[in-house]
Amino acid sequence: MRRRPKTRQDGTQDPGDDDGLSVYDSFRISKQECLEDSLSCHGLATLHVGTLRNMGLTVIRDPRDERKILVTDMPLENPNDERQEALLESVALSARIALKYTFRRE
Amino acid sequence: MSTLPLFAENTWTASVARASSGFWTLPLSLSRLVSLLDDNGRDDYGEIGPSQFAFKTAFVLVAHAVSILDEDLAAVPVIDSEGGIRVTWNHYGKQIKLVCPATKDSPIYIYQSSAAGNSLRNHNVTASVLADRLVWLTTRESTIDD
Repeated sequence: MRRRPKTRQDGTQDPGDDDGLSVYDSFRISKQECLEDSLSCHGLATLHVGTLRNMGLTVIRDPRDERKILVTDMPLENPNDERQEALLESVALSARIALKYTFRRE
Repeated sequence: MSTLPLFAENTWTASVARASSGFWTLPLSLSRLVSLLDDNGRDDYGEIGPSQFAFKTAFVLVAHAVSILDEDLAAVPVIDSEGGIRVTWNHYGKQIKLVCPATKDSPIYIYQSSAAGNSLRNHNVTASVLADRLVWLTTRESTIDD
């Protein structure tokens, strides 16, 4: 799910995921690097680009980070829409758990 | 002394008083919700703990629904980036999602899906409605009705 843009408490803008859901490209980053790049983690799951495209989603290279790709039209969080929820469900079902590992960097 | 929260309509004790040890056992669906409180703060993607509004809403709806059903169905709750809670139940290839947003500004809704189709209810979401959906989940029929 994509995060919605919002205004932070200090008045600044948080763009959320308005450019798309950002995910790492497994051809350009290792599992270990992927984990170390995050502040916290509950595991690692993989998505297949072809499967996402077959669902009608748009997948592009992230112009700001070559290690990532963007799913630009992934539904937003809590879409309150039946079709968008169904699409989220399809994406979740297509995901494969690669690693279960919980940590939080202090 | 019990540390369980008190409700004006405390109707859920029937389903939590089953433990043979003589002590209450919190239904699994509720204990998993309570476990969400273990985390707080933020990470790369937003809030990692639930908002007070989302937790209270989810807990009361699920507790009362469990009480109405007199049966505990294991649920999987997760937190969204704003601190809202999405609770999922799966059974017989069918799915129910209770979506409790972080604040009252967004609607609470129930999404249900099965091979027969999907539906979403975003008005008058009560524990009774949730219980009805959970009854549907536990039957082998997959007809959708709203």
